[in-house]
Amino acid sequence: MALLSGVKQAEFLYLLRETSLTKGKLSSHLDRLEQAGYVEIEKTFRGKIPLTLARLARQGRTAFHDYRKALNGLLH
Amino acid sequence: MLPHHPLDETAKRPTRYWDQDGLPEVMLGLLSIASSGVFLVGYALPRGSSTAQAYAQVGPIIWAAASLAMRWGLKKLKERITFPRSGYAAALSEPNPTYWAYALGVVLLVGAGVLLLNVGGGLPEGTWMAAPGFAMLFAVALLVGGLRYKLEHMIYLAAFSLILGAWMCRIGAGPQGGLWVMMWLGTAMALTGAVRLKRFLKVNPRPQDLAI
Repeated sequence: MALLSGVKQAEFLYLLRETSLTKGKLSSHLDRLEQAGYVEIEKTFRGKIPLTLARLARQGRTAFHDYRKALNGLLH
Repeated sequence: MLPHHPLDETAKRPTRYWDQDGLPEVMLGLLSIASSGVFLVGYALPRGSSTAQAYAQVGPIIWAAASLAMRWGLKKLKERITFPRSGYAAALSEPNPTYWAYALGVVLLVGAGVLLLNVGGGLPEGTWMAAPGFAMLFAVALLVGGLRYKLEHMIYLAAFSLILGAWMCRIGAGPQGGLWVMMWLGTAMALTGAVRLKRFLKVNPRPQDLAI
């Protein structure tokens, strides 16, 4: 969520490298976030190569913003 | 498991993504070389000659074409080299208030620098303001970029820019001084970008399986 909050959308490979998670774990995380309505997943192609794009949904951005605000409030 | 990072730092990490491969730096360096080269050629031509007059019409077109070519080249190289290795991420398009604060800071610093140079009167006679002006402008931009995106080498490039500006003043380079600053700084940026690109390619081999 934190990574996606800093971009408009990101490819699965980018998230994989940045999080250092395995493919399975990352897919599982994204699935759960998608089911919660926080993340939108788009499966498309770049030429002939399949591409999975993830972006924060409006609900996800709001939830993350609120969470970050609450956390910063607790820490400070 | 995701290593423990402050949330703010993790959210900012994608902003450094754009230059992780060094390609924008290479392109910016080449564009600086091309831009300064176009104008230096113009200066080298005999004033008032038909060649100079013709070049005056063509020069800006060459410059514009070079800019567009660099932009297109960067996009294609990103697609071919970077995205297959480290994945693709699109930057946020929403305006960032911090960006405008930085931009205003740059303008104010440059203005203060020019004012100080004029009030100080320490420049050798006949020195054109272009050299120190360009050097300071680039130095501030590089310093801000280096601090914001945590790219240490940009701070060294900023120092190099100031040294170039001071050297152009010292030798009385005249109006072309600013262009020479741009040329040499562009060369330095192209080299540092190339070194970073080489490092990026070594650290990020192309994955065999791109299907998810």
